[in-house]
Amino acid sequence: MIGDVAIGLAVVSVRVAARPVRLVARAPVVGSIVRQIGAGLAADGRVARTLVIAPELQHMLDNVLAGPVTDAIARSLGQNRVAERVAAQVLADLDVDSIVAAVLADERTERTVARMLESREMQLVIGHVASSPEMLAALSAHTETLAEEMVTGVRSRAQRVDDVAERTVRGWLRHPRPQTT
Amino acid sequence: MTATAVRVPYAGIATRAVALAIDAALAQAIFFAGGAVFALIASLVSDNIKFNALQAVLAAIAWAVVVGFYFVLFWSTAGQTPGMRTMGLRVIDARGQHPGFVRSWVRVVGLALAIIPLGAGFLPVLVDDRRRALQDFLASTAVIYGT
Repeated sequence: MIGDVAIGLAVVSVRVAARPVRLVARAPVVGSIVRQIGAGLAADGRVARTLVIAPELQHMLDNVLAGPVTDAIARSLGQNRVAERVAAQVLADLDVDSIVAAVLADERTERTVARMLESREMQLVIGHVASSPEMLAALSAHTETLAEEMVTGVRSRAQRVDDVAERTVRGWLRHPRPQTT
Repeated sequence: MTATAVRVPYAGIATRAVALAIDAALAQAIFFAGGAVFALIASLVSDNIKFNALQAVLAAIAWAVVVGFYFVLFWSTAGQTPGMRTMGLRVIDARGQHPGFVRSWVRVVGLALAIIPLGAGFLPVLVDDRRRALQDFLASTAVIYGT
């Protein structure tokens, strides 16, 4: 707010100061001299602008980017979900499936993947993952679980056969098993 | 005062048969491994190894001792062999504890006697109230479910 007022005051001051100069420049004798001086000043000004204005512009741009305006713009972009809207629009316009299919079908993709798989770095990564304690623990746990499930299954089946066999033989002999032992 | 009868989970014939099969395989594997080591050492000493009758008998006795020790060692120290542990079985004496060294040897002999008549020594398991086999009668033991 204060910056805007300062800029407005500067613009008004320049306009007020330029009026007498314009009047003198229209005068019959003095005017040509003033115009020549003005032309010389303008030429100097153009040279100066190429040398001075550009760094000033950069400086001003830096100030703008470092100031609250950038934050405000970023905040506004986030609040209005601009990125999501743009991404959704882009995805809607693009045929992503065909793009992915084309990339996968390309020979270069196959060559790149093959080269990557054969690379020393990939071998190092695979070796690191395969020998990691987490992977070994997961494999061990999985194997133990499988073995335990198998043993539990064999146990329960064998116990069922125990009861069936005993009941059958005791049935033949008419000698039922006592309820409590 | 009322007496509460407790149902002891005596192990049946199928579970015990599977456990015995596992133990027999393990005992044989141990004997074969030991025999292989012995044969390797013997081959370094002599080029021509041939078994005569006496050596065959000695090998059979060695087999019996190794297999017997396998069972006795596990029964008298842990109350269960690896095969019994796999099947969730435990052998106990009259006090409910695992059998001692001598009782385990008696049980091994009973086991052999039960196997020799084509496994007929196991048939009492099907009709006995405590599911005892011949070796259990001889050693006063029982086999129960439970690790």
